[in-house]
Amino acid sequence: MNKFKHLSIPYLIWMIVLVLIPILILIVMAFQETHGIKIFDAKFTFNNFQVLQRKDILQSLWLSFLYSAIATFCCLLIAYPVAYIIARAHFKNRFLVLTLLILPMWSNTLLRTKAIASLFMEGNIITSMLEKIGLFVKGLNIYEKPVAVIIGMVAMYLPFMILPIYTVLEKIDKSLYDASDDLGADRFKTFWKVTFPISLKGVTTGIILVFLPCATGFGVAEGLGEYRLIGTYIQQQFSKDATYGVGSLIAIVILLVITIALFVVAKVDKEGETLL
Amino acid sequence: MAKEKLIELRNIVKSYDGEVVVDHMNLYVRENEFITLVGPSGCGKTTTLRMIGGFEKPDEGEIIMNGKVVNDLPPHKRPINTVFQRYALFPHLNVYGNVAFGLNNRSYQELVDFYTSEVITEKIKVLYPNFNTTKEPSRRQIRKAINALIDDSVRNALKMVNLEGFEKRKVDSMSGGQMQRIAIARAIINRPKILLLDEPLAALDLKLRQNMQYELKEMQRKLGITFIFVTHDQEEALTMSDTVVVMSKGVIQQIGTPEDIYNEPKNSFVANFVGESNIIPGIYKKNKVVSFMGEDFECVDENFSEGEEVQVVIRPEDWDVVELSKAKLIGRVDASVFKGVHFEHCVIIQGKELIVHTYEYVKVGEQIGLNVDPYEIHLMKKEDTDAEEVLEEILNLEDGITKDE
Repeated sequence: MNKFKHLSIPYLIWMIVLVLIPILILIVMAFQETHGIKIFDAKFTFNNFQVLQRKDILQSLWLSFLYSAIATFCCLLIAYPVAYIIARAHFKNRFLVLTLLILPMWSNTLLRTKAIASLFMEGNIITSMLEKIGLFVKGLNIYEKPVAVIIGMVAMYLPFMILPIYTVLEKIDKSLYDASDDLGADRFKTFWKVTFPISLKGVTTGIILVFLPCATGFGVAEGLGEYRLIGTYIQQQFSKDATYGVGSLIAIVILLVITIALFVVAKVDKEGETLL
Repeated sequence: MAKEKLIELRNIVKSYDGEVVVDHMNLYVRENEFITLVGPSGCGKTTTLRMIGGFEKPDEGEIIMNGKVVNDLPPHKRPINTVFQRYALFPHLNVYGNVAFGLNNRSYQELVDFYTSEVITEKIKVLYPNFNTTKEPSRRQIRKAINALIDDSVRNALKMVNLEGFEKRKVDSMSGGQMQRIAIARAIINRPKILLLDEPLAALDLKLRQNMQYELKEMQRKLGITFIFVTHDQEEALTMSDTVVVMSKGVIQQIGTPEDIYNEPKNSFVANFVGESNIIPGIYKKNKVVSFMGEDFECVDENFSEGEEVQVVIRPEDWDVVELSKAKLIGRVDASVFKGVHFEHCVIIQGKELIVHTYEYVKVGEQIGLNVDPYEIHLMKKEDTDAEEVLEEILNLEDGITKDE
């Protein structure tokens, strides 16, 4: 195996340049109070930490977490049965069905968000089309409401939940079902004692893949009229206010929280069989 | 000793996509019997086993257990357990969890019936030293006793397969032979009436396989459970079984004891499949005399008419190599292979190849004299099966070991 070692070098460089160094810069920036980057005026300060006591920031963090948790849970509720049905179906076009589910991912995220947003407004393309044929229906009118944000997140990240669950379910040896049946378990028991525990790896992976972008991203939420999430706040520090220090600090905090969460998952899952 | 029929298959037919896999099969299995279904891959033996286990339903015919038709009974309601071809151990459970799986699936009442109340009361007395025997035990006490009994059962089952102390191990950290044993322990802990074994030894290496053959036989004797064993390995079938069922193309070719199957094959398929055979065309001259290769031989078979065409079966090891002057048949050694215990000579007599096993070395190209004792000659009715077809089946078997599903 050792002769393949050098194949990892490009990846290593990639990781150092695009992940490790930026994180180090973030950490340094978190202790700076300058507007923009001013290398020669750099001064060490804890002032940025005051932001963590601000009510609106804590509110943002909490809201981000809440929205992401609900969206992830909804994704799981939808994705598991879908993945289960596709994985156990006998039809030949399983791949086609899977492709149909993933297909939305191929289009631009921003456009998709905008499209979803317009569907949530009182008057949208569908209502106006219905008007043309004489049907006057009111639109959903949930734009800017929390439910819109959650639906948007679910629609955006659902494939990331379906795919890993489908993969583990599909890989389960069919003879395990026979064995379970043989050992006295009916279909219900077989699901809870065999299928579900084995598929947990996929579920964990799916949760990570959905929760992380939900909690840290801002595109989907902003597109649907929600500007209070932490992603939006961080983005503003860098683009509008140029208070890089504050933005860096909050980014680091989120990074820490996520790292700790993943660490806990890795501890519980001793075999390291999930994504980690 | 006439034992009861435990399970009976009557006129079973099963086909997949219009292809008949099991064709009007009739078979019964007695209590405490070690029965082996053997045949080349695609002969329907695994399908038969899966129908007995309840994983497949027959298209026609009946499966009868205790006088009841059980065609539609799902596997978890049959007093039958299976050891699967590739073990099918649960990867998310450790060894203990796998073995206890069957018992943990049972309801409280089923467990009480399984262990009987006397045994449970005994266990309660052990667990609660000051338990008042005149009183009814509480449900909590019974539950605790049952849990302790399940624990004992798991340990006993693991002891049975020589895997004590492996309870906490992950199943994927075990070797093939060990996984095999876990699969067996997981099945026998439920005390099934019948244990089905679907090529359980196919994935093991030769030495381990031979050990396991012996152990399985021993285990069957100790447990007194009926074993229905499926294999493509005729040697394995002969070594382990009380009864061997030779199958080909969904049809039973012969049922009998290993001795019968080996010594008295009913047709050329059985003769060729079970061990090596020389099949020579001959004519039944008169009572107990058969003529082949231009010579008359004494034999012991009687049920043939004078002048009938027959097939003569002589096992390679049944030839006697004698001095040329005393030999009835004289041939030339065309090839010779050392097989460990014996030599295998390919002898050409009158343009026909015969296989001869002897302990003595004979130089290639030399003349060899052969005789055969009357009781070593087995006669079969002439049949239509052409030899090529048989040969093809044997060849299929050789590369089909892992394909049989």
